[in-house]
This record gives sequence, structure tokens and C-alpha cells, in this order.
Amino acid sequence: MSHDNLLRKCISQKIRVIVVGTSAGGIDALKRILPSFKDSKKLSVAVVIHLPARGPNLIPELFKEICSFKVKEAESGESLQPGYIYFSPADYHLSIESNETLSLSSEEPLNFSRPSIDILFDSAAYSFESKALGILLTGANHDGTAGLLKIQSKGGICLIQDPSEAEYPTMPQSAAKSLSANAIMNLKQMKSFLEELSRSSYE
Amino acid sequence: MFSNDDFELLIQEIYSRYQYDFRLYSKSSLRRRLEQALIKFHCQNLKEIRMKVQTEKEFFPQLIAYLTVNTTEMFRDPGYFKSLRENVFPYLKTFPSLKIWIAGCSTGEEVISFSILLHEAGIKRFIIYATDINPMNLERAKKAIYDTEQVRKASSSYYEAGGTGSLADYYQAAYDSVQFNQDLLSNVVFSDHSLATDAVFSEMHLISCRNVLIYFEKPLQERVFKLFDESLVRDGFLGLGSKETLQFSSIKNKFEVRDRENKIYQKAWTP
Ligand SMILES: C[S@@+](CC[C@H](N)C(=O)[O-])C[C@H]1O[C@@H](n2cnc3c(N)ncnc32)[C@H](O)[C@@H]1O
Repeated sequence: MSHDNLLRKCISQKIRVIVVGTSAGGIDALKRILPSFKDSKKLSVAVVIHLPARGPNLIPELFKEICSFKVKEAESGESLQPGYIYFSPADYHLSIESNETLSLSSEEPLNFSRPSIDILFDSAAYSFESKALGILLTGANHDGTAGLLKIQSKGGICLIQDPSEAEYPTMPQSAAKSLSANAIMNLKQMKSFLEELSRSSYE
Repeated sequence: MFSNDDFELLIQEIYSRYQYDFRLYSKSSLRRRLEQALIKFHCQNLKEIRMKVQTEKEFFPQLIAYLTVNTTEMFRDPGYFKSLRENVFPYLKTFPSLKIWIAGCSTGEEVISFSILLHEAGIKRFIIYATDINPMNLERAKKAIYDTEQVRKASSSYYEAGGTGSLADYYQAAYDSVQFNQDLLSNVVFSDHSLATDAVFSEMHLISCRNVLIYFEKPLQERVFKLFDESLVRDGFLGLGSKETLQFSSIKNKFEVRDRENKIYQKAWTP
């Protein structure tokens, strides 16, 4: 689907939440796209990046400085607000609830991952259906594919980083093979797409 | 395969038939648990699960084991236990006898951790009330038999928590499992108690409730905080999980933060 058609589709579906998943190589990729979100009265963003389990999570600090959205580590029970980027804490799964709150969980790792991208995507698909947009970036495993499939089946929109550009192609490749993603984009295209989306106004 | 209406009906059925109240639990996690239950019990949809709950007496105890998240480990977040040992136990030691409540104790790893620390701190006169809603967890907790591999991992957490001996002093190793000394459980009372529906049952000096509230929606968290406030003696302590906080609760002003990072609070002296 062309860039413009996809943008129109997002606007007509009134995208509300954007869920992003990445693993190896993810920090650099996120640095390219997360600053694209400019002040928006509608979009909330939630991110899972696989990290070593222990130790303080320095990622939110890292992104605070370069993003115009507010950046924070998600807390269990807090309400999902527009203009925010939420990161899952290390070693906890993050979900988006249908009552527009966030929740954390220490359920078993899924496919060896906690946080699990699939769990975040799956929860967004159930809670926001066609108003959810999933983005899968570089990574060296298969997390995220099942979650994107769920988003697709609920009528949401899926974007995948072009595997040929990804630092670690396995993750986007696995997703690209399994679903008819709405778009495969390189980071540059994704950046301008997300800028436009966050600028466009819809109720 | 998974409709919201069926979900609500099932939760309602469980509540009215068995008084287990999951109505204010976070839905995503519960839904994932139920999806696993569908596979495990070979059901096509939640209606079938609901039929089983209605008609098969033996089914519910098996289902409940699937509905709760039971993940736990010994000396989970060692910094929490270290802080208790350093900042809380010296104070508790001055009491002639102690009551400690471990709410949502799961399969007992947290209980063993407490018992060991109390022993090493030389605190002898205490009772631990260890409660949970999952009867299978309580049964396993009473046995105190754990997987060798798991205990091996716990050994480094034990040191990080400031353990002064060797974890191996506290158990007998068998082939692939270890049995902790029953002495560690001699002052422990295990019982079935739900934070969602049950009331205060005794006055406590310390309550440890970790990684239970993250599965509750705000109103249920609030209920539990009130319950803890009512259960604690003046100057009593409350310890929460690393991602849980009193900060947004209505009882926050009645408590002082003793260790922000490790989520340890003390009920303030209110004249
Ligand atoms: C993730 S485990 C936490 C175990 C341990 N406290 C820890 O931090 O490792 C959560 C436990 O809370 C129990 N639980 C869930 N709902 C409860 C309720 N309403 N009242 C008491 N316990 C509950 C579950 O059965 C489970 O054993």
C-alpha cells in the first residue's frame, strides 16, 4: 500500500495506540523513529525492547532527551495518555488494557522473552482493535510475529522494518513472511510516515 | 473463539458459584491465562469452560490453578530482603513477639526467604501468616520441596540479600529436588485468604505483599491498601513488589517511605 493510502487508512481508522517491538539493534532504530512523534492529542506509544533482565532500566532516560513526546517507564494501573511513550520495565510484560490503562505482569517468559513483544501487541489488538498500529523493527529472534498477526486479524495496521535494512533481519523477516503487512518500510520512510501521522488531526 | 461477553459471564459465574472474585483483575493477563486454560482443558471456547464450572465439581480447583500468575523465586529482588534485614529487622527485634503476613505467598519461596532471614537475624518469637487464593500453591508451599536448578540460582540471590551462612545449610538435596528443613516452617501458618473478598484477620507488624497488586485494577488495589492499613499496628511495616507503590493510594499520607527503591513503607505514628 502506498504511503498516502496508508496514511488515509490510519486516519480513517482513528489510530490511537502505536505499539513498537524490537530486540537486537533496537536502540539505534528507536532513536531514528521515536522522535518523529510530535505533540499529538490522540496518539499514545508503548514500546517493548528486549533487555538484560537485571539492573535499572536506563532506556527511558536515554529517550527523554531526544523525544518531544513525554517518555516514561510504564507503571501497573496507570492510565494511557496521549503524547506519551511508555517503555516496559526490564523483566516485566507490558499490556494495554481495554479500560485504557497499562498493566505489568511477571508471567512466564513467552518464547524466552520477558518483556514479550507478542504480549504487548496481542493486548493492543484486543483492547484497541482497528485503532491499534503495530511496528516491528530489527531483532534476532521471532518475537512479534504472532502479535502482529493478532493486530492484523483485529483490523489494526502493521508496519515492518525492511529486513534488508535492519541491523538484525530475523525478526522483521519472520513477520514479513507470515503476514500481509500493510507496509514494509525502511526507517527513513517510517520516520516521515509517523511524523505525518502524528501531525494529522482526527477525532 | 474468545468473546468479551463470554469472558464476563465466566468471571461472573466463578464469583457467584465459588466467591472467587476476579472482576477487578487486569483483563489482559486473565485473558491470556484463560487462553492457556482452553488449550489445557481441550475446550473450544469460554462457554465450554463455563459449562464445566457449572456442572463438574472437580473442575474448578483445576481451573483456579490456571487463573493466577504464580511466578515467584527465592530472595526475589535481593535488595528488598537486604533492606529488610538492615533497616527493618533491628527495629522489629525490639518487639516481644512478631506477626508477619505474607499475602499472595504463591508456592512458598518468599516464605522460606523470610524464615531464613529471621533465623539469621536471631528473631525467634514470630508467627508468619502466609496466605494465597490458589490452594495448589499453598499445598506446594507446605511441602517446601523445590527444583534443584531453581535453588542453585537462588543461592546467589541469598548472598546478595546479605545471607550470612550458606543456603545449602537449610535443605537436604535429593536427586533433582531439594527439601527445605521443616523447622523453617514451624512458625508458619498457611491459609486460604483472598485480598479481593476477605477481611482483616489479625494485627500485623510487617506485611509483605509482592507482585500481587500489579494484577489488580486500581479500585481493587485501593481495597487491599485499606485492608493493609487496618491490619498494621502503629509503626508497622509494609513491603511491596518492585513495580508497586503506595504513591497513588489514598493511604499514602498515613505512611512514610523507608526505602523508596525497595518499596518499604512504615505506618506513621498518628496521634
Ligand atoms: C506472582 S505471585 C507472587 C508471589 C510472591 N509474593 C513473589 O513476589 O514472588 C502472585 C500470587 O498472588 C496470588 N493471588 C492472586 N490473587 C489473590 C488474592 N485475591 N488474594 C490473595 N492472593 C492472591 C496468586 O495465587 C499467586 O500465588
